[in-house]
Amino acid sequence: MGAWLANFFANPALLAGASAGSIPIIIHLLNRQRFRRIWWGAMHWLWAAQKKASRRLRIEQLILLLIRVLILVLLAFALARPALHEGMGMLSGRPHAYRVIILDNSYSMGYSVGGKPLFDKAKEMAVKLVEQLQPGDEVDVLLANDQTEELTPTSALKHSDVIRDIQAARLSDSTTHLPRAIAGACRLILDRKSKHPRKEIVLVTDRTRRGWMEASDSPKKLDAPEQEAVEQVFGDEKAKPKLWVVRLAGDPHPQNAVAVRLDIDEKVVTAGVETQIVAEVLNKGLDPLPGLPVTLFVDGDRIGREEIARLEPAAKEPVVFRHTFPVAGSHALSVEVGLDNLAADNTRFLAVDVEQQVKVLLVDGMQKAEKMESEMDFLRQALLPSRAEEVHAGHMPLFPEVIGDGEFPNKELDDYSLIVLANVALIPKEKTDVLEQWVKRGGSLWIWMGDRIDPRTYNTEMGSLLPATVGEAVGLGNQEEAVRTNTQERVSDKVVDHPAIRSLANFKKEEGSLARMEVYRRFKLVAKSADGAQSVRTMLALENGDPVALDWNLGEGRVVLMGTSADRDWCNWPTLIQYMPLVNFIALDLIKPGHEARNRTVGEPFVYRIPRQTLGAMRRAGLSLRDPAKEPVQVDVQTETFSAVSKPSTRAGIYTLDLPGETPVAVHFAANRHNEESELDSIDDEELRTFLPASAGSKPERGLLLADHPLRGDVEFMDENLDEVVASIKKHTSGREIWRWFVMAVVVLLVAESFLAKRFGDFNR
Amino acid sequence: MATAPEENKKLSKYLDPKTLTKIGGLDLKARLIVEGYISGQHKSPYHGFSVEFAEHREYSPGDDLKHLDWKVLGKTDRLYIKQYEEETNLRSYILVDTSESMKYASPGNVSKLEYACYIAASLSYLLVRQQDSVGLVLFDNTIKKYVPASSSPAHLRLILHELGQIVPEQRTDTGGIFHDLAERIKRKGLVVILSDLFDDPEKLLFGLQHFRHRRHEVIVFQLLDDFEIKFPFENMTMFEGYEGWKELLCDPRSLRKDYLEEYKGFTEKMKRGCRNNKIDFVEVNTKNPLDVVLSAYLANRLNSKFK
Repeated sequence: MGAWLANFFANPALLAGASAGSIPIIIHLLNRQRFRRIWWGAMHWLWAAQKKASRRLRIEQLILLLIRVLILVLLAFALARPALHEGMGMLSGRPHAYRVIILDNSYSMGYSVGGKPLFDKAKEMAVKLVEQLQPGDEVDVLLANDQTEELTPTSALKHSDVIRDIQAARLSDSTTHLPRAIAGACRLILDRKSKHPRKEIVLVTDRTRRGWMEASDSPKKLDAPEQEAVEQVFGDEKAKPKLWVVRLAGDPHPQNAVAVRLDIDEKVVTAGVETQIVAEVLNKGLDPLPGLPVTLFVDGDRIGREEIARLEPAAKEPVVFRHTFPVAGSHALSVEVGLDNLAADNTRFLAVDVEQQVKVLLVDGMQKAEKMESEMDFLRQALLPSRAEEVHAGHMPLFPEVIGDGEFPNKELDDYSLIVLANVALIPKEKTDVLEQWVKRGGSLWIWMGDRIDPRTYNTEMGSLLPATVGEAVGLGNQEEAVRTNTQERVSDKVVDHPAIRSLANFKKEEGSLARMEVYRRFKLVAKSADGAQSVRTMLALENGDPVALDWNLGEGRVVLMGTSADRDWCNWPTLIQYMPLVNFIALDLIKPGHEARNRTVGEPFVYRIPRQTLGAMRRAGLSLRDPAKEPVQVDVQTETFSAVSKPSTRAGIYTLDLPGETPVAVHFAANRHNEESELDSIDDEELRTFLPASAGSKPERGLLLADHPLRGDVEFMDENLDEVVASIKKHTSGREIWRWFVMAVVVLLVAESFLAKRFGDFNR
Repeated sequence: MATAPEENKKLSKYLDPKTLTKIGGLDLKARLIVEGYISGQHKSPYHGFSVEFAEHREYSPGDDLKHLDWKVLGKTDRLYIKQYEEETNLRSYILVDTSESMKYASPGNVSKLEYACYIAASLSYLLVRQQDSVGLVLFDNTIKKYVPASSSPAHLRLILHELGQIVPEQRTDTGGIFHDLAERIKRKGLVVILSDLFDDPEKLLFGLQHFRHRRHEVIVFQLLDDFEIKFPFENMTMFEGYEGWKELLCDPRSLRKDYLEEYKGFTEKMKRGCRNNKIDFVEVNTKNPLDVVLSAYLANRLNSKFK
């Protein structure tokens, strides 16, 4: 009962005023006490009159008393602000509302229908939804994209401010997660603790599927706190929020060409060498697109234009551009596909670091004068082939430099992208520390074994670098011996699942097979058990399962440990045809391609690795990152990791980091939109219903928003007719609070009372 | 006489019952009322002469010798005056209701009983002055006093004395009393009834019919206080009844309509009944001057066959 009262009346305390209904009764009783006495002669007439009138009088008096009592009781009711909730009736009046408007500003809302982007239409609707609120109503506006930003930082009672903010709202370059946006609205409702009885959520979005579904077509999920917020709000008996999902219909025949990819196949791009740039265009529309222009820009200059004659729906067409970067450094590329109704996804960006050369340091533990006797001879040969036609995949960008292990301690490591140690017996302790620091900051180290190596020294001195413990030596160490005693071990071609080796494993020819690679002597490698995020991967293994090449990440860098030698002392690898690709693939895999770090999806931060020697200068001068609109983005310099980390990007396009120094250098980053938002497939209302709180009247169902709880809220889907939606929401919002009716009843009763009192009085006179 | 109209005016103020209350002595009041009323009227047409012997009285100097009883003088040698009861052409009986309800007086007004007394006194005075004989009956539920009709001035004093002695206390039983009186008054004459008639109208009319049956002329003055006629009360009032009626607490405004209906219904019934029986019925508001009553009486007399 108490709960019902609290539910029905906003101010149940004022109900006590209903006791004022007893006032007329008390007055009546008091009046009976106050009379005068007179002696009277004509009592027989008086009694006769009394007898005749008493029945009528009693009725009249009762009517008047009833009316007076009713007036006071109704007045008290009106003051207590009764509000009708769902299913209570159809009386009208209007409670104060707390309304959260969610505006989907994912980039698919930029789709133009009739020359007007959907987002503009959504903003118009939002403005009207704010305008229709009464003074005292509260409103919050959320922008639904990956971040779900709150547009109004403080709950605004000042509707004009909210309207101004809505009008200033912009499309984002991200996708959206609409269940999360609804959860965000719920969180807001909980945080605001608004006293208003009506809680309303209006979601204005388009009809696309991707706001609700993952690419795998399973519904987008909420995490536990979000789930809890939705549960709390929609499971609340009293709040019973209403959710409107307004879905703006796009084009029934959308035309949408999407630049889905812009990339350079080469891992390392060097200046002066012709590079192949690939753009991929996808037709996400329903109609074929004829004569679609595709334009490539490098550093703002248009350098190529191709045309796709006809692109069928759902077809993906690669467009290849060739370009030679004249100078090394950071370059910004973009590709533009001919205009359609959704302009946002027609552009794609790529930031490329063009190297002058990629330097590789080869440290030879046993240099010999004879040709092909040194440890590194084969390796160097494989990395820098003497004949260009031997190069399988175009240009070989690596410049190897061979030194003896004696020179190594004096080398400045930051000049190199990759360091290879072959049969190096010992490195001084302090150099080992430098080497480890260098790896952790992103350097790549490749270690080969050999007869000079003492496993115990390696394990103790360099153990923290290695992905495995170096064990005892296995095998005779001689090809002839091994063949004679038949103790040679073969590399397995089955266990290979390392990206560096994968393409090599595809060599099906007999002589190119990994199984031809034999090992005569090796150190047993015992992989370190995975600790934390650093897991050890097997690159090559023998037929008996023992690994001969292991790989792990150390800090930002990588270390590859081989169990055998780089030359043909312990294996037959350098004599095989697959040796050169093997070495090159591993080397290129180890060299971290610069442009991969430079290219991110909107919403991710950028990380720039600062060279050790310039860290101090950069910290002093500070770094400035500018977004595509040239507005500054905050960057934090992290000294422990020698890196600069930006805030998550919010817009698609090219970002530029200005590095201070004698000759200022600009480093480009690119943020691309998530492709999924380009999909304009629609999801129908019926399917959506399974997501959302059940409608009023229907049996509570378990929506996907709330896996295990029946919801009590009400959801309504509406199409885009602006006025209809606004009117419908307004119509719904009214008809809840009914104190006006009580006041009206009081007025009517007051009039009736005076009329009847006068009439009864006249009648008696 | 130049002063006559002024004197008339002066006298006529005594017709107002409120003025009369300030004057002591019922005889004086009666005289003032009658003089006030009569002056300026035509001379009374009623010259009664009666020759019925009443008694002997010793002569005293100054008596008219024509009334000397010569036979007695001759027989006894003593001077006796023959006294005649002046036989008038009219015998009137004034019936005054002295029941408790007659005590009622609205604020600033005389009670109905007082008013009745004024009328009775002045009528007696008037009648005696005209040598008509007049009798008085005081009654409530019994006959309290019966004064036989006579026209002597001494009789008038008796009547006035009796009127001054009234102590009202009993209920009325007017109808019953009328039957009694109708039997008691042998000679036909004029019966003047002064009462508020708070009784059953059927019974009342039946009693009045008895008078008519005895060939009496009957004139009924229904004396009611102004408040009893208009019932002008506003506030919650506790009405305490005379004559043993139960008290009643009510809002008078709400009862007014029904009360007035009752009152009018009663009066109508009485009027109709009286008319049918050739009885004069006069409503008197005790607020009004007494000449209304006297006029009514005279009108009755003019139409009377006793003229």
